Amino acid sequence: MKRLVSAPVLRVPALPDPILASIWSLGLVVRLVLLPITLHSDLYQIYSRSHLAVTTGVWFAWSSQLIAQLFHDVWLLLVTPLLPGSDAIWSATAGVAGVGAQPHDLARFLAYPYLARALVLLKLPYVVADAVVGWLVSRDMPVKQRRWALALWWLNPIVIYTSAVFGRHDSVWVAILLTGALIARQGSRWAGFVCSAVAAGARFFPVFLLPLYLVAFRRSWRSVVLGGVVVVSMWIFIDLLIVVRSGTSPTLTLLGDYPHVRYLVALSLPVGEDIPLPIFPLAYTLFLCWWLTAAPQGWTAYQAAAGATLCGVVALTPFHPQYVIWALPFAVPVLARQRSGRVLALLQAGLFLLWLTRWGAAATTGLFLPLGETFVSTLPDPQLVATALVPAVVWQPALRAVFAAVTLWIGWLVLREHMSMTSKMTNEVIELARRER
Amino acid sequence: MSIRRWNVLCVLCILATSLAACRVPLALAPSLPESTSTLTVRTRLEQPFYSTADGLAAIAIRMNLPSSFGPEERPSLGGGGVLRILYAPDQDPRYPDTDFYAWPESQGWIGELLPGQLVEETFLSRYPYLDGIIVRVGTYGADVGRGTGHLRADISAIVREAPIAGRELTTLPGGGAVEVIGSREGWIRVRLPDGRIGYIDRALFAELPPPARWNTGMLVLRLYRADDDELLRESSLDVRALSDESHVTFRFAPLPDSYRVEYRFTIEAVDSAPGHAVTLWGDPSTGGVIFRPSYEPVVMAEVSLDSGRWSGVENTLEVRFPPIRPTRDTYLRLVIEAGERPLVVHWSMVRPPGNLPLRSQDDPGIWGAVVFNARYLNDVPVALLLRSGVARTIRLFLNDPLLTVSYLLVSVSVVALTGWSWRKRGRRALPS
Repeated sequence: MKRLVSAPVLRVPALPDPILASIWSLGLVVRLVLLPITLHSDLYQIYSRSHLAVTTGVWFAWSSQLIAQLFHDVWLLLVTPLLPGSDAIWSATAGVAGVGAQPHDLARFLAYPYLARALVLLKLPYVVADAVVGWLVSRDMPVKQRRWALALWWLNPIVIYTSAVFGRHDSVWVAILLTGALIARQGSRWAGFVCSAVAAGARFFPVFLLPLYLVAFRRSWRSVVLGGVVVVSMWIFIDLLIVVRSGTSPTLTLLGDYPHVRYLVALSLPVGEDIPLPIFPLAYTLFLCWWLTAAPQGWTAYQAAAGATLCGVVALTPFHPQYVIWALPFAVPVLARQRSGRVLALLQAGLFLLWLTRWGAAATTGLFLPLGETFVSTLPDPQLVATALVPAVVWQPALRAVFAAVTLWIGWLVLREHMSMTSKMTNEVIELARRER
Repeated sequence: MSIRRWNVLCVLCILATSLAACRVPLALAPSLPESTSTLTVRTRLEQPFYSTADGLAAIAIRMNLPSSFGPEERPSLGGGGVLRILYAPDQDPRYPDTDFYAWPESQGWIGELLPGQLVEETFLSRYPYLDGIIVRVGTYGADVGRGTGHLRADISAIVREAPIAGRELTTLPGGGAVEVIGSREGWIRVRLPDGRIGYIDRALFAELPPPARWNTGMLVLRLYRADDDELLRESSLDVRALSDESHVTFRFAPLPDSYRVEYRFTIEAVDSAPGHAVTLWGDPSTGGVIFRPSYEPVVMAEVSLDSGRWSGVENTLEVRFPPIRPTRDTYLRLVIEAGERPLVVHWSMVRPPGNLPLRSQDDPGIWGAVVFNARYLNDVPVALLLRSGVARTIRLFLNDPLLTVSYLLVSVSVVALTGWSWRKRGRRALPS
């Protein structure tokens, strides 16, 4: 018995859990099917701008998505040898704000003999990022929860739609943001912070997480202040540098021209005849004040705050619900642990699919353009189908309200789990102290 | 055959039928536009629109209902009004003759049509009940020549910028003389003392200059089905009855099944002679003639507004009728005729698909459109969609062997790995 207990256990490389393997396979197959047959003009536009950058050598032309554009520029440079004769398929006007790619440009792209290959290659980084996030969110969990966590991300229609169908690059930055947080969890706070800052530079959603990050992964309050000063100084430096070089301020350009900034204050309460009180800034500032007061530390605290904040961004602003994929990686581990959480995640995905009809053919049936104009025109426009059943003035606000409510509730679940854990630990500490007395 | 087999057969039949044609409700527009104002319909209101789907089954019009009815009035939703749906091929801009009043300088007369010379055109008929072809003819002044004309003394003459419905330029007193320089659409083209060109109704002239020439013969149109070249209809016009610079219609018995059928027609002049022949308006760059098909007006739905259903959500009166087919890819016209009381209908600056304005007999100055939506019961050929989708996907991959091989490799690996994990499940760690 003693011999048996002390005998070393030789671990062979772990065989994949069959259910996990099936989830991975199913998600991959779905993506492989959808990649070559769907296209949104946003994908074509961003790669057309990349083609311009690669061919003209103007890689650092200022735009609000400079980092994201640079990423695409590099990726296009890498895959161009695999796309023979692709020089003529891009749009020359994609980089002109207010003009963009024209229908005849898109028609040229759709007539490209290697269209399927092009679509697969152009969306490949997004799918890889999906997989990385899937792997990251399902690590370090008991097997059953791991399956749920993976399924809630990798098989989530919101994720599949955003990356493989619509061709949005958000999951790339989600992966970097999540990697940053996990690096910080291992102890490399500043490396993690750089990752988060890069993600925030590419897409602005993580900007709201930077203060939370500094507080949650602080060594001291001095490091929080230092981090804040570094971020603000860097931004001012970059802004001034670009003002000197181009004569325009990125900050003012963002505030003046970027529609997403307007979205942040779109939902508001009327407090005076002409004074609206925007709800998202109000809620976020309140939350930030509470967070700074409570000042919890560690990965779980950051995860809870990030999940709740990003759920709030999507729920309290008119952003497209697909951007809830920013919140999902932080919410999924919590949702996977609770039956009600899984139900909510499924409900959220279902509501998202229903909400897609609000955008009509442009965001639904029209995405199947690679299958031909006739195919797309024969498909009924889901928005018109929905309106024929229920007036748009009824179903659209109702659906958006339910989606926002479910998303907010998910954010609350994530936050509540952390708060109950903290409260439980505090009670245990108090109990121990009482016993010691 | 056992009952179970029958059941299976029934299920398969239902599935096949569903796949062959699935019927879905569809709206014309995603939402009703904001109302700009209201207009009162005492007689008749028309609203043309482009219909994208088949099976038009209902129209919902935003209107005001009276809050109370007088003792002599019959309480009703539509006040005895009627809604009709007709095709509006005259509004369809996809035929060469897009604007009745336009005579663009880029176009011109194709020259005298002489025996042996054949004009030929092919077109897709987008509506049923094709009953004619409209062309523009020129007679080189065979109905009136240049010179001085004298107006009737008993009535003053309105001079218009264009024949029939052109803007008023001026009014000439009755009995005066006026310089006649030609004619268009049966109206006399005149030059005013200040140099402006205008048109006066021919009936307002007491005396006109004699015709510049006389034409002979007949114009003969033959209509063929394009795919098998079968002669379907023949129609002829006596050139002596034609007015200079005017639209004429080669009328024939309607073809009820002309929806989305391609036709070819030829026009030739019989018994004409040089100096005594007419000509057609055409496009010198293509060599073709400017024409548009004509269709027999058919009322496809006629329904009393009193039978409508009021929606308190959108403030609309929805009238339903049996689904109309075909309506896909056609211009339709909804006509509202008031009954015993006027109807107050909302209009908006946002126009329905087709971007055409309403036409009101009671208030002709409105360039907006009626606030309405249409509902369809549209057939979706699911089986056809699936087949074409799969075929197109296969074609995408056949074009690209490298991608096909990569996909096959990845797919086989995924299936093999998954299968292997299921076969080996439960084996996690082995003690040495």
